[in-house]
Amino acid sequence: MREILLSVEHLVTEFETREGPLRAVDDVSFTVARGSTLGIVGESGSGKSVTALSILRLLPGNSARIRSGRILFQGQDLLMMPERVLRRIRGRDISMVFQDPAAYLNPTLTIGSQLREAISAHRRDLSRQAVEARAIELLTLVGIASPGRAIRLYPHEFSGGMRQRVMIAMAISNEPKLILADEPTTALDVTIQAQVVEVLKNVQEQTGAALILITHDLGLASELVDEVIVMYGGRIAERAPMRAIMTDPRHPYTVGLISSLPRLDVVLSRLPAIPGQPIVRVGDLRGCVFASRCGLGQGRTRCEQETPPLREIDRGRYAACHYSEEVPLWRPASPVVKKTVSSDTSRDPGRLAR
Amino acid sequence: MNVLEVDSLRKYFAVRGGLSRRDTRVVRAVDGVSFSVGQGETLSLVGESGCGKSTTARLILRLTDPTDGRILLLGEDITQYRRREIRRLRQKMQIVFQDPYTSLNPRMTAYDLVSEPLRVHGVGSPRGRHREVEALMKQVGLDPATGDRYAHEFSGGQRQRIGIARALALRPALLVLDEPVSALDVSVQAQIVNLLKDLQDQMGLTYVFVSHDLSIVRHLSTQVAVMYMGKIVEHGSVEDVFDRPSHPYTHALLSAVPTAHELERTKRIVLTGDVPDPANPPSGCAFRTRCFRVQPVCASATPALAGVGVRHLAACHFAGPPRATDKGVVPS
Repeated sequence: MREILLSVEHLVTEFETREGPLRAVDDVSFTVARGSTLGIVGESGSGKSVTALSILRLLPGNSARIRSGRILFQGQDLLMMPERVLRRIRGRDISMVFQDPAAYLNPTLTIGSQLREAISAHRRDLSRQAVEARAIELLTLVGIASPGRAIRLYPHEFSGGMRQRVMIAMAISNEPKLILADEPTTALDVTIQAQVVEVLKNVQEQTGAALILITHDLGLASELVDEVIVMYGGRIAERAPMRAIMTDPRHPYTVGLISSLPRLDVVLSRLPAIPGQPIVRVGDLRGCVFASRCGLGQGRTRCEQETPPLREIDRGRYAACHYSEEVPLWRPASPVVKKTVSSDTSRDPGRLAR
Repeated sequence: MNVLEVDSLRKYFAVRGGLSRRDTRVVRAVDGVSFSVGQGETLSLVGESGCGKSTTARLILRLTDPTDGRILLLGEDITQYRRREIRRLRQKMQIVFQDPYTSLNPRMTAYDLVSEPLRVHGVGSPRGRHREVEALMKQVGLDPATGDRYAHEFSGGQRQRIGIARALALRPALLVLDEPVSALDVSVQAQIVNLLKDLQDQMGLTYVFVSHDLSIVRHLSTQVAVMYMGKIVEHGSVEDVFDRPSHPYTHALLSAVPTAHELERTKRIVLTGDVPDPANPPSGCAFRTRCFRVQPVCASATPALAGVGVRHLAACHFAGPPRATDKGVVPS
């Protein structure tokens, strides 16, 4: 077992609203080992981004509050740390890649000067030449052609995909131990998305940093991470190795989420949707957050009365469902498969190339 | 008769480049696009941002004037229509927008939003309109009792249902769907896709579906046109384009879709580089700068959209299924 790098314990984060406190993150606990990769997957309002922002204490101070919990990074509680100490950790030991790179790059400064600033902010000892060399090295690492020219350009002269590469270069500039990537490819076109995924994969492998990927896209998660947490209504619904969750989900929400993804290789007459709307939680929770949309619970009293805790149901597998043992046997009404095309070679060019 | 026919449609924009005012260049946003859509069919326009799919949709809706070409709606040439005639067109074709958060007036109730098209076009008596609005709301899966609520009180999925009911109010023959589910969560996305399918079956609607999401396109379309830099590069039935793709760009697009299903995992083609500057397109084939089958001829001769099967077209000198000589294929 690798050493624990980050440990989030019983995190509770709330937002002040006119209707009362909105519990965005409710009793979330997980650990991340050194060099490992974890996906936090959920829909809007599931609490995935608020969890990430809570880790770095980057929440809007006037409306958000971390009510309780501990966030231990290398054994130190980030929530107890004075701001100035935390500032040394942000960007150096823990760095972030955001969804919209344009919003985080200064349009009036060249790529080079912003990258140099990111490097020297935590490494005052480096000479100018050393910083310059490091900037070029980083741009090469994220696959920017002719980095010597690129450092003299401004962000608007870069495409969205190139800007995201620059953001990744900045994020790894101080050899962080943990990279938090919040929807890093959502704003990009699909062919560019594929490039950025490759870059993130390479960077993670080469730097040995741990990666937390926050995304709504299970498909993206399955390409980048080994383990995944599925969140719903501020709580963890399920935690499992990536492969296991896709083939054998143990929470009814995960089952619904996976089957509602349209596929390229199977055409169904109807997509199996999860009925109802995502939950907005104001006030006290009674019972299971997913109860009102759950096809397995279907109004069993226990689901309405008792909040299911996240419990270990198998080795390395956790689910927050009273009836998770029933999930493998339960399948929601499955729609008619019009055709399956998985044996088609046309979608597997590599098979021919080999 | 086809509901919609589009023939050699073009839309050029003049953009000012450089520092001088005289230094204007032409962006060919839509450059010779042709297709026809029969009743009850769905044609999907797919491609990445800037490929011209949304401009094509706007041209069809006559929200912008074409530079050249013809648009026929129900056999009628609407290309030269003036403002008043375009207003009448709204009874025959309607649009559903991407973002149900910004496309609905927040000061109007759901009831008012759905009844507005009926009032504006003077359809029916007030009582008849009332019955119609209730029927429309039920049809899209909204409780008519929620009609007095404002748009912001609904969730994203329900707001999109309001948008759809509004578009259907005048009983149009053609609906242009501009990324109608891409702002929604996955679990809700599936609900709206199913609703659109049901409505099409019940009402015999014809759809033009603009999307970058290939997996949803696969579920909703009968024909698919793949666009790149203003041109259709591949066009065919949904089975042809997805199961027998021919253009290298289509291969790359299909392989780039992130997938969560283990069985679906395929070898991935990662294209190098970005989409070229539309004001300064490459000579010959516009895709050649990113293509893994590129040959010298691609720079000199622009490939025509030509048949590669029955009613299956591709614009590539080297069109065809994946082959052993393809470069740039990396294992997933």
